[in-house]
Amino acid sequence: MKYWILKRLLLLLIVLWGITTIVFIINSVVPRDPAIAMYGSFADEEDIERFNERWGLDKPVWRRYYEFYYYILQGDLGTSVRTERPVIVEIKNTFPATFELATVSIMISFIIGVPLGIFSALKRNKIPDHVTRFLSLIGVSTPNFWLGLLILLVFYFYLGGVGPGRISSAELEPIKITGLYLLDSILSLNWRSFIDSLQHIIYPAVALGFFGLGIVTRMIRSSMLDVIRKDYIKAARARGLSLVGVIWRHAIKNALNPVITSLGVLYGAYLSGAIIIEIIFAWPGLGSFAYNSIIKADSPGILGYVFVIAIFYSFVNLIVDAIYRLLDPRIGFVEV
Amino acid sequence: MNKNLQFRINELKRTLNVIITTPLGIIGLLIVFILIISTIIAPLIAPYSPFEADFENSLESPNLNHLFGTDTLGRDIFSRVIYGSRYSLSAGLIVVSVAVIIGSIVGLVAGYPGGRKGAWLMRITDMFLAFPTFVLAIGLAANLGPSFVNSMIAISIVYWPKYARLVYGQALSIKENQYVKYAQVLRENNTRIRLRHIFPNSLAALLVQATLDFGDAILFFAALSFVGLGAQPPAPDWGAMVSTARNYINIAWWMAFFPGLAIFFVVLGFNLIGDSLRDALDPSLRRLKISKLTWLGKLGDHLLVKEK
Repeated sequence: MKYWILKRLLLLLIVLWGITTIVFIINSVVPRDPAIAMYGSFADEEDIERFNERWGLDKPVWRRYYEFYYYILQGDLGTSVRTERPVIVEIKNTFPATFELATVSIMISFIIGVPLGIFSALKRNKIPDHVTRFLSLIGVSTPNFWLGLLILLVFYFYLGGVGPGRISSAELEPIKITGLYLLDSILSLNWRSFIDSLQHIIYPAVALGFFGLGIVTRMIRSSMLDVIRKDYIKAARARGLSLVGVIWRHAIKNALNPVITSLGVLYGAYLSGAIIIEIIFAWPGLGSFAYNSIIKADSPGILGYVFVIAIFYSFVNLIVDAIYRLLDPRIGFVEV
Repeated sequence: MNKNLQFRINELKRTLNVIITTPLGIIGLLIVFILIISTIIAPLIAPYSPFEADFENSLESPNLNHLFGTDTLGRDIFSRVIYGSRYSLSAGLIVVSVAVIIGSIVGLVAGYPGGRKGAWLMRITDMFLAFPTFVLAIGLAANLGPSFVNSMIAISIVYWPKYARLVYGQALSIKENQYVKYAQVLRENNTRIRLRHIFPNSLAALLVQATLDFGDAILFFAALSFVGLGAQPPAPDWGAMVSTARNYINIAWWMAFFPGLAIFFVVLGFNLIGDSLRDALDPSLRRLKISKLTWLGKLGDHLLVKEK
């Protein structure tokens, strides 16, 4: 197991190198001139030159690559052209919000999706199955920005729910331990804060999680159908184990196998889809930062966003891989 | 060669048959058919021009004159939605085609003759998969500049690794076949082997995946447009329309509702086709509907018995 971890970490380092290189290549292929985006089309030559000099955009490519690494390794992701603050600071401030949103969305997708998928598999080709399959098909076909806007319209404007953002007022903010409002409010036993945060996060989380709900339901359904036909299930039933017992003891663990592998990909999808949900629900996360960077052509900001998400995603995949190997003894820790 | 072509056409016909015989597949085909038709004859069915502003009638809710209402500039939303189908359809087509072509080339080159060089090529390909797709597309499109063409480039770059891996995997298994070994004995060059033997045999899996991805690609493009990186306003692209409508959602819900509904239906249609296709090709699933061939076969038996 130790060798596997070492091997995997080495692989991770190579992947991280690949990520940074790709991000750099994207960066250096910048036809969109941030100077013009900042000053508008009325910028004259002098302004552009000054701008480029200040942000180091007029140095040759190889020097910029070297400097890129030099700064990255120090944790310096550059300074945002838009806010004039270090990108890493902006990301540190906004990342917990996005992490919280993505995690709650994953939880919603799984907590609702897994039972639904099992239920659908058990009642195969009967009415509940058709309804569930229909719902999950809708789930994967709905554009999440459309769904988000509809939720916003119905629950915020028509039914008068809570306001936008993460919390109703600054007073209700929990003490900052992790930056995750739900966790912090539990840890500090601040129930009003917890309820308020929950009320705020539930709508964007449902909007984000609806897509994955469809995917998870379909996957669980098909893998449950595979598992139920297996001989050991029949043997367990023949031994007198009840249906619920069989499901709980044997079926679920095996059916969850393919789903766990997709957990990583789904998490990545939520991290990236969060930008859209955050725009709609005014969620002050990394996605909002990225969107503001996009409108203002803030190259360091955009690339900082891409970089951080990619790195986090790599770590998530590493963890998911480890969990997968831990749960399934057949796939040992020997091969990479 | 003619026999080969005939065989492929028959395969396609059979696949189409299967889609047609499931009710959901029919609905999917219908939706896609409507999409393609409205793309082509858009000027004929749209009652108004999608670009003409008419400030007197701005922000009208859906009525008999304007089926989907009007937006802030008085443009008819129904017409804009119809014209918007052009952007979505072409986006899906371009992205999937380009990604398939690039991915196939890389996959073929890496897969045959394979070995260490091929494996290394695949490792580089996998680097791209380390990024969540949408985030990478945002980074690319934002840096290239927001436009339709640039978003096409960005999405294609994000999509091709998937097909490269697919073709690579297919190539690895196909090259063990006898006919490939015969071709090697005959000293055919690599490119010839790839194009004549490996690629045609991986076409089936490739086409299935491409069909499944078509709806996904349209959704992807719509999301990029929503963030401001795809088609730009005043283009009547659905994603861009939802984006501009975002600010008026509480006073004019129809501005955002109908373009989004259009995206939903189109993606649903492609997903339905993809689903029935996948169900058809899965040998372990028992199909509920009897295929036309079996039905015709039964009818034929009946006729034969009568004749005798």
